[in-house]
Amino acid sequence: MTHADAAGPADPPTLADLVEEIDRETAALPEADRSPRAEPEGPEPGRAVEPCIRFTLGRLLMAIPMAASLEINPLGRVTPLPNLPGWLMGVANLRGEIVSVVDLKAFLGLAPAGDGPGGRGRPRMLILVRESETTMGLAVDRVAGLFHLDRRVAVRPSPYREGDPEEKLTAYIEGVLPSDAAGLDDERRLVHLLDIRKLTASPRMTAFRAE
Amino acid sequence: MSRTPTDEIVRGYIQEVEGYLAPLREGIAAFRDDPEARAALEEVHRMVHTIKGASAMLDMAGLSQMALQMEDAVDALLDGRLAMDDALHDAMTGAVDRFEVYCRDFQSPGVDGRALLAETLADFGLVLGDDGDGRQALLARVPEREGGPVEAGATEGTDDFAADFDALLAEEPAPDDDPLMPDIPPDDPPEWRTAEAGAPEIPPEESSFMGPAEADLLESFYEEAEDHLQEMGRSLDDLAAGVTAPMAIGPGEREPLRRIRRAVHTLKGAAGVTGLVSIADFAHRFEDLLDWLYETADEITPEAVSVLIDSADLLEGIVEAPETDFSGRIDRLRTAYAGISGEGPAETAAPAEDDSGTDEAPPATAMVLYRPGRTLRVDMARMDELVNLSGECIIAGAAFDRRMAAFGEAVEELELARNRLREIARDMEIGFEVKGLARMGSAAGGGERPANAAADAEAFDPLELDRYSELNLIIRTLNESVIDVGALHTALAGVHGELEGSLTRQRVLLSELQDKMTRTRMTPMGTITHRLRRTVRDVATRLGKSVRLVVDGADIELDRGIWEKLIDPLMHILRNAADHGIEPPETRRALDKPAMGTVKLAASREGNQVVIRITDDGAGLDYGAIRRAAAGAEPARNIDALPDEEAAHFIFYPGFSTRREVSPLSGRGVGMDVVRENIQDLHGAIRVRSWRGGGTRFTIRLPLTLAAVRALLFTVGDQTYAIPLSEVHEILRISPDAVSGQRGDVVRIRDAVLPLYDLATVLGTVTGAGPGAGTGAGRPADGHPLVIVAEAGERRAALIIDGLMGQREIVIKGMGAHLRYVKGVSGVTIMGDGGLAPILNVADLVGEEPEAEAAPPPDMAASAGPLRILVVDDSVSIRQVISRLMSEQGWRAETARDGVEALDRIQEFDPDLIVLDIEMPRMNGYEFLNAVNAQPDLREIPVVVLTSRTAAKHRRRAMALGARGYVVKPYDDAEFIDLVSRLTQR
Repeated sequence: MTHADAAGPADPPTLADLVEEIDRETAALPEADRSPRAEPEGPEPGRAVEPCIRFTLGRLLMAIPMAASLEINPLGRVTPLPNLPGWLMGVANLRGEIVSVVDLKAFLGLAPAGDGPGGRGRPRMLILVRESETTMGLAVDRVAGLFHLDRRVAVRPSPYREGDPEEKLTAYIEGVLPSDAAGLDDERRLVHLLDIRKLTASPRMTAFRAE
Repeated sequence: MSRTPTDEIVRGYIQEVEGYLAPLREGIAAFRDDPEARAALEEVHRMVHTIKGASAMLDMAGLSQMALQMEDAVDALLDGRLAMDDALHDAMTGAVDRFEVYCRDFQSPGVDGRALLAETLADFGLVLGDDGDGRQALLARVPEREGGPVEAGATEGTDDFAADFDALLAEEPAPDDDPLMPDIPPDDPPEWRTAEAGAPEIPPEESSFMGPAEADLLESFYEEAEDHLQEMGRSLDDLAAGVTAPMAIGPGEREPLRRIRRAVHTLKGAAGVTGLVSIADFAHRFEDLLDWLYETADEITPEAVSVLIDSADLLEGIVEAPETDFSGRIDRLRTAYAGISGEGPAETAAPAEDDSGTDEAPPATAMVLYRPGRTLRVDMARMDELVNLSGECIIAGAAFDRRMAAFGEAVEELELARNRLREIARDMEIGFEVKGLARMGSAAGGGERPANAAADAEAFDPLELDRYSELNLIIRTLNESVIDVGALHTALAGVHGELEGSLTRQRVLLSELQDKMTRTRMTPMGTITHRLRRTVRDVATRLGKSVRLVVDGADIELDRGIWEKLIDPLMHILRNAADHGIEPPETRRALDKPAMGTVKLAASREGNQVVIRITDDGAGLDYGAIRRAAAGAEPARNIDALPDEEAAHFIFYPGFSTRREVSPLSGRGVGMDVVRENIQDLHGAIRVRSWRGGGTRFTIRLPLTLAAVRALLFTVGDQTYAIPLSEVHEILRISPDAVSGQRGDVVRIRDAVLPLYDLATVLGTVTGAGPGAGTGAGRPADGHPLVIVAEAGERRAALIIDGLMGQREIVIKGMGAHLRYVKGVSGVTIMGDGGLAPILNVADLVGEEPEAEAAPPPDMAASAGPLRILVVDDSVSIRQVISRLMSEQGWRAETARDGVEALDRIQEFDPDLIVLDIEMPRMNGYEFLNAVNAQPDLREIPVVVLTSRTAAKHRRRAMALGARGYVVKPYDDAEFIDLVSRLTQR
């Protein structure tokens, strides 16, 4: 038993585990995240709200609609494949289903690709997303809780322009949210709402379909 | 002409008869010696009966008639109408002798069957009584000369053969007229029929009679028959439910009748072509009744319906067991038919096999050897479940393997632990004894010791002291424990060994199961090509183009469901090729291309993928139009700057069309995106490549999902990879001296020089320069890298790996919905520990991309697969002989019986050359040539006339009508092949 199996797929986490994990992550979040709870903000009747998952990519706070995600797991073993761009870490085995693992930080140009397994910047969580028949795993740093997004007021256009390090983000986000709209107290931080459709339909992602 | 099917069959049959000779003689002798030995006589009867029937089928009339005489005599003996005497005995042994002569001389130099029969008749005539007229009539049926060298037997004899057979058919049903068979009851079945339909006594070695082609034919017949029988049953149910009392036939009755008639008719035709005469014969009579009911009758009664049901049951019975004798039931039903339709017994109806069955029929012996395969239709979804389950079993088995390995290790550990324990016990024992001895020694040697020690020594002997000390007790317990642990280890090791054994057996069974499950669903591409052909033909006809479809790799197998899903995309691509790709004939001529465009559909298996390439030799993609349309669709992008290849991908975009006007065939812009989607649904990938003016090629790659393969597992770096074992040529260590080339990228292995790849570099697992991570072949520290020699497409390549893990049965999985194609990887497999191992496609990984070749597609005429020859001749022997000659060259031959049929077949078969007889029924050779000339797209096909007419005027006429060759029978094989090759430029 010499294999470094520790990272291998453990039993699939139950929902309770997952919520607990999210809570833990939320609690562990740096200075900004003193928000008492995400849930109490819950939907009020008659409002166009959508539950979203918050996660971090390096310093950035991101969010995706919960409806787009299938499940969240700790990032287990990823098997690299040859001839893939750096932001594609490889494939992982999720209980018999094979999914590709996208290093979202690298894909969005926020970090150089290939930080290496177990490296300092290795993502820790895998969010499985599905959009129109394409399923892929997004490797992110941390999952940072749930919030309810008010569609009518919250989303603002991307503030980044050419030359910004976050420039590439613009193509793949619906827009940004002020942190209070994302259930956080800290006014200074922005939450970037990922557009899963744009992400999965982008030519870089679909290059492995027709090709 | 050295081997003809007829020749071989006859030879086999003669051997069979010769095998009967000795038993016949023995049987006759046994009966003479002991008149009670009926069993012996019955045996004789059986053999003679077989000879009679089979000989008639094989055009050996003399032998058949002699056997008939013999059979009559034996019948009489068995009935007690005759007693064995010397004259009869002599007649019988004489007949057997003549069988022998007949057999010996039939093939060479030929026999005078009539003379032999005359002698036989004379012999039996003495015994049985005789009238000269009957004898003469019989003699007239037998030609004077039979058999002989094959040219005569196989070619000219055929027509006689049919005629003889007709004669037999005509004569046999009226056995009463035969003076030699006076006592046979009139309702006895016609003898020949039972003979051909029922000869189960044919020795098993005769199965060589039935080639794979016949077996296939029969199998497809039985599959088809099942459908027809079911249809018949359903319609009969409808009919029976409606008809409860005599009633007028209305539309409600006519419709089921029509369906039944159609089913019976089709079944009759299929049976006739397959040579199952007994089925065709009865179906024909059944059809007569149905015709009458459908066309003439005004009234239908429940009785009639029950007769129909009986008939259908009987037909099913005959289909299921053709060797059983149903003649009694057949005759009863015929009487019933006559009662219904109010006609006399349907003697008038010529049996169906007269025109289709007889001359097509494989020898009687073939059909009785076939046991109809029982088929069961199962929902695809259920099959999928089963296949998936068997796949899961294998994965679970792999996990079990790992547990077993752990178990094995634990058992070994246990032994080590036991050994260690034993060591400790011994050490303690020895240590204690030494101490004890030392103490004793000191006590004996001086008075320094305290008094109590001396007292102890006095009280106990040192050995006794050992025994009673507490430590000693512990050591003893320890020793016992060691023994216990040892026993436990032995037991566990035994269990482990047994489990290993069971597991191995389980593994073998599982892989067999998987194999069989997967194979149940596989069908060759040939099952869909006829539909594709029709598509191309339709489009071409509608557009006034002439396009032919060349199919290569029709035997490539894929899951049936995949073919079903693939057929629409393929049709679409083919339609596009014929519409957009292939230019109109005038344009093609102006471009110096052959007027007939070629679309080639080629399937092949590459690694774990099936690759389907559709190539046309048309104009290629119109990049200008694509760019214009693309610029319209996506103004933001600088389309003009895109290389052609990338621009080509726009055709897969939804709604993309370059056609300004919408035609019924294409231009709607729905199409290629759907094609791509369909193929992606199958986890496949499609690419397009085009050459300006040189054609377009679509390449579809489909993974062989769910397939289990034996694979070699190895490591590169930390990662495990797999290569299908079928692609691994050998594994060896190479010496650094063998490596050459500028970058160390060539290796000499024995006599072969192979490209050498360091997989660590190719796979990109070494990014930085770590220890042991060099470039090229210099990596391994010991200088003798481990190398897999693998098949990479057309050639071999040597791949440097780090370590071997052995071979294993693996289940190929796709790489998920996102990654449909990754260069060099055909899938992944799940290992026992849940980890993944990529399965490498070596050809794709290191080989030259077949699509990357810059040259236009190779000349398609040269690579169009086997030549396709259509043989048009009314003689079955000629058709068979030529077909065999053609297939010996690796070409494909199809046959047609006359010009009309040939014109049909041309559309379907698309031949490269036609071999044509002149004299044929319905449409003769000249008429056929005329008909072909009238169709521009057929005019290109070279025609070789093969005839026995030697006169120059025939030759002139054929050549004037456009024949490209004129060959007179008998011909020389080599010259004929040569002519065909020349005309087709092969």
